[in-house]
Amino acid sequence: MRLRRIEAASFGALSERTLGDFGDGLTVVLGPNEAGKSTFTALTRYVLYGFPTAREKEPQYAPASGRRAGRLVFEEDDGRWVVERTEGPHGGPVAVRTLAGATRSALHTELTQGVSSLAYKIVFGFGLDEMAAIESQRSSDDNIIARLYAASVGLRTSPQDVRAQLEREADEYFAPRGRSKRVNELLTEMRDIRAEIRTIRDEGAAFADDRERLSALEARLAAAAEERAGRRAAHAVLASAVSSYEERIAQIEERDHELTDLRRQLKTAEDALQREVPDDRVLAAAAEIDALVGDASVYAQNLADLREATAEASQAERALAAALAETGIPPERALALEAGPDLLAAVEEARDDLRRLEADRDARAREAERLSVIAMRVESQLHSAFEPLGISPGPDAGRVLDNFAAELDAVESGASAGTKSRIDVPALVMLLAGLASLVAGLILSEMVVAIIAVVPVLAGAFFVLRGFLQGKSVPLALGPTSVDTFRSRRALDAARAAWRAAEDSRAAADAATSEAALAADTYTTRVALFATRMTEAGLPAGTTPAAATQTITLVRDARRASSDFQAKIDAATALQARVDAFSVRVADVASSVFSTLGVVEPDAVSGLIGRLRDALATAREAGARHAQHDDTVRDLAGRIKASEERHVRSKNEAMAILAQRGLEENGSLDALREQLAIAEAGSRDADAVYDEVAAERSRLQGTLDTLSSEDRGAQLRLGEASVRERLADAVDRYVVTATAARIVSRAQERYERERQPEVVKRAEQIFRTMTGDRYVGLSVPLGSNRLEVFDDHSAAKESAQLSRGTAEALYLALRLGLISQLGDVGPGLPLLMDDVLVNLDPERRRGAAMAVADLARERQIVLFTCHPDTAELLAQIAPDRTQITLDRC
Amino acid sequence: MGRPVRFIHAADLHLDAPFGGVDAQDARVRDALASSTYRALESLVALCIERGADFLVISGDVYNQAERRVRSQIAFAKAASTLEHAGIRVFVVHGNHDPSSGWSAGIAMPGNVTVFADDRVERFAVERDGEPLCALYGRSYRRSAETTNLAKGFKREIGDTVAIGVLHTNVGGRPGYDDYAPCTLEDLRSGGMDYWALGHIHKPEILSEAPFAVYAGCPQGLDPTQSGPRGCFEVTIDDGVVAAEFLPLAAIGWHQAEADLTAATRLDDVRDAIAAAMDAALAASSVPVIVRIDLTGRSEVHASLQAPGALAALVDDAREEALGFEPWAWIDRVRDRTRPAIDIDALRSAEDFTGDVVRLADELLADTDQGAAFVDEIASALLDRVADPSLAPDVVDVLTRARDLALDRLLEGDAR
Repeated sequence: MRLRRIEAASFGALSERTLGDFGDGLTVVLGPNEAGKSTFTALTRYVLYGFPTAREKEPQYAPASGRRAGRLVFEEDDGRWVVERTEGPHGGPVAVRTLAGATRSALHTELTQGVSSLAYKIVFGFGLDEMAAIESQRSSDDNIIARLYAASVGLRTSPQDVRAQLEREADEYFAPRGRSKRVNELLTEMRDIRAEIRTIRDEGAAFADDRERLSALEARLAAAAEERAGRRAAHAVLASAVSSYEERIAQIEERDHELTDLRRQLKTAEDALQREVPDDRVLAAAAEIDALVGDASVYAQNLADLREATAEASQAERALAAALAETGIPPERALALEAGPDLLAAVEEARDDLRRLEADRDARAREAERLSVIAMRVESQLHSAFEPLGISPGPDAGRVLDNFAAELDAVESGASAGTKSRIDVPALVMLLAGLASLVAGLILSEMVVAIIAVVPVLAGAFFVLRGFLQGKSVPLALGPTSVDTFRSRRALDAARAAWRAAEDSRAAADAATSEAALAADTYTTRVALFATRMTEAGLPAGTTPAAATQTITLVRDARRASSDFQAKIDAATALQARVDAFSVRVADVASSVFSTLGVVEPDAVSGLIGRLRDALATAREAGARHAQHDDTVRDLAGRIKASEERHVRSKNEAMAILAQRGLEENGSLDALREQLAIAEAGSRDADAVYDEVAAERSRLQGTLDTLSSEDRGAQLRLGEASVRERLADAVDRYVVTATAARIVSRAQERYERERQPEVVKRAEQIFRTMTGDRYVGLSVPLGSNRLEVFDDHSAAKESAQLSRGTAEALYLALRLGLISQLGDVGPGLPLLMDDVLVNLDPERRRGAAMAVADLARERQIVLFTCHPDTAELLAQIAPDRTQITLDRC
Repeated sequence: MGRPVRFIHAADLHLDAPFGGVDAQDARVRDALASSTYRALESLVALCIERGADFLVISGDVYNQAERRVRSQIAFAKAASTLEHAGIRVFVVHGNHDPSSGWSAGIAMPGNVTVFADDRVERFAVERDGEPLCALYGRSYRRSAETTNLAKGFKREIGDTVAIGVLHTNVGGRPGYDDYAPCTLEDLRSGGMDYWALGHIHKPEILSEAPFAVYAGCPQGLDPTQSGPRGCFEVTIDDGVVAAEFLPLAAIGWHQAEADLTAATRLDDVRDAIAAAMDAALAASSVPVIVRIDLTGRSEVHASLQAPGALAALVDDAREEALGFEPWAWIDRVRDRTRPAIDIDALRSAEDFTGDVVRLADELLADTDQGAAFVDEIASALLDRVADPSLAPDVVDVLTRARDLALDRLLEGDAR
């Protein structure tokens, strides 16, 4: 890494000025005074380490305007970078910019690693003003020589620093005169703990004595307790006596007041007793009045009921008259009529029978009519049927036909047919059913059924008899041929069919006629029976069932109205009796109370009862007050007597109390209180003695209890052990650390004595070259700020004894020697020297120039000079140097 | 013979012992330590009752010091009273820590407590149901520094069915313990006892089985060096056959561990090593345990451990975590005995500053006087101030560690 250019953007008199490009090794910058040589040197340091603030004792190089700013351009084989800084807080921000190659943002840190600002100022970028600083700063903390010394022996840490650090660490533990050191603190802590342990031990040693003392105190405490109890008892007795006496005196005074008050109350009560006298007449009738008052509501209800019952009776009477009139029967007959349920049932039964029989009669009459019409039509058709046979349909037409048939049969087969009889089955059934009904009606005494049953019996018998009578044959006139026979046969069959139809129609019409007659008879018989029953019941003859039913209903309504009327009359009569009786009671009581006579109207009864009730209440209140006053008088009399007795008793008790305390004569409360005060003082004294002994005993007991249970001693001994352990550790650490520091110190001494570090050796060579072997030795004792040189006679001289030129040669030699040994320390940092050879004589300047040129082979060097001779000298010694000419600003 | 003789043999209760050498900074740990000997006593009493012991034998040093603390005496009296209610007698001899001439708070012991005389071997017969059970022989210390061979005064009487000797003694002059009432196993054998109930040595041990000579050890370890099980012995003598079973009583265990950090490279590795040591300690104990750990090994982490406060911070973290365990653990001390990961031999031959350091240290280590003077010059003012000879440094250890420390710092960041 090489510095190529220094660019002053704004710094002192420089503005946008560039110095460069520098060579890899030695660069000589030749410029007159005020060309900016020192300014560029300073700018390089400020860009690397920050611009100083106004308070720092550094040249400020303030520009005419704007903030200070500068740039350094570094180069390596693989790139170029700019380190630039602008004035700002903390020296101003620094930035690394890459011009070519890879980014190296940490370049600034790499450049300054291990080299402080002061070290740079003294070793890397210096002028004549800083030449002597390499010696004078040695006593500072940032000992450049020491650090380089450490570097020379391969240690990153300076032995000087190590020793100082070890000494500081040891000093933390112990210093002979340090009070706050660790060891001293622990010793103090241990001393305190041991003192406390001794105290506790002493307390323990006194334990037996304390126990004896505790026993004595307990005995004293018991005695004091006894004394205190006695005193307290005496005080309590006297206090009680005083209290009792005071109480008695108070009682006597209270009794006096009480008696006065009671007597005044008695007088007032007696007066009131005389004033309040109740009405005896009223009180005598009190029970009756209470009863009347109690019954008054019943009376009012009875009276209201009476009036309502009277009205209802009138209404019932009117209803009865109307009901009787509606029956149409004289009232006497109507009320006597048997209109019970039997009659009504008989009427209803008759009504139903008559309706049914009437309907049956009409139906049968209509059926007989219809069958008669049919029979007549069939009869009319017989002539046409009989005509082919030449027979006239007479009454014996049947027999004639039979005869004709027999003749025909004889004609046809020579045989004649017999006759046969038939029974009419329906007629037989009718006959049997009628007989059964008749027998049942007779057995059950149901005459109506029996009478009705006669009809089917008669009808059945008729039809059965008629069936037997139809068995006669009829003569037949037939033709001689078979055709005629056949025709005859057909005519015969037609005639016989017509005949049978006519016979059937006639039979049916006759039967229907007979049944219609029977039904009419039955209906008539039933009507007669009903009429007979109505007459027996008292109803008018000819009354129909419907009329009978209505009449019976009306009669029954009239009877109910009559009963209702009678009930109303009875109720009104009963109520009237109760109202009248109560009015009499009221009148009687009123006459005894109010001395009045006469009948009391029903409506006046309630008012009279009210008056009686009020009178009774007034009398009773007066009586109660009278009794109360009487009780009061008695009570007050009793209390006055009792109070008088207590008054006497309190007086006696007070006298007794005084007598008990020996104060029979001239005894008083004050005398008693004087005795109490004396007893109280005695009790207080006894309490104080007891408390004192108890407190002492408690303290001692507490101490002994603590001793018997406390572990403070054990804790303290543990604390002592802990402190001792820490003390042993502190002693050990102090001894080891201090010994380590001492070993380093001894080694340093030996090193200085027996070996010079390479850096000093190198400086010694350079210095020897510079001085032309006038000086052959150089010593840089560590731990001091002395520099010693030895001349060729081994005479030692300190730097202060050297001439300025020799001293500056020595300082330059030291720097060159130092830098030659830095190795990797501050890589890339060039050595900037500002006319440092000016005070050297030509010989030493040449030697110095040679040393510079020699070092420039290892590390980049920029040497500023305003002397062309110096530039020429360096050109001779190092022909490959780079030279830059700088004009005056 | 009826039921066998069964008794509990304990010793060295050291009630209220101060627990030297422990850095109990935590209040909970201090409380537990302060009460631990008392809790061990409570456990002892409970054990006697649970096992149905005929009697309890305590072979000296009930208390920790001649000036017996009041609390200790009251606690012991209370324990004895509990045993009295259980019908168990207590036989006690005074030891060097609680000689009979020591101070007493005058607290009366219950009637079941029998203390052996200090001017002769005293014999007490124990009966059961009116029948002789056994005889106990014992002798107390009058003074702490009892240098007489008290064992020689023990002689079994004819007719004793079982004879038990009770003595506080250093048999065979064991190192690490005061050589009080010195005697030999042969002295014990000549007494004719069936069982020697011994005290003084805090580690439980059966010295001999013919006759049985047993150190009960202390029921509660009293300092970090007294690690391992602590308790008492249940002794059964049945028809002349003796059996002794150790029973633990300690309320707090002590544990010493070593963590090899050779492979450690970071402080996190140290943290893990400490945690592993704690886990091992807790795994071996059912009661709270106090642990000491030595970090050893030539390790890269050595330099990091030298940084001020680095190890302390690790220990603080580990302590906080360990106190959260159940049962808890307390790290008493973590001692850094690691060595730097530096090739000292290589440095010794290097012609540079570190080589000078190594060679300088070698010279001091080789010349004892020079080394002692070197260290003394540094430490004398401090030691005068501390006034504790026991804190005098081990010169070789100091020089070695100081050398390593210096090299660590000088080579900080370098790999050599």
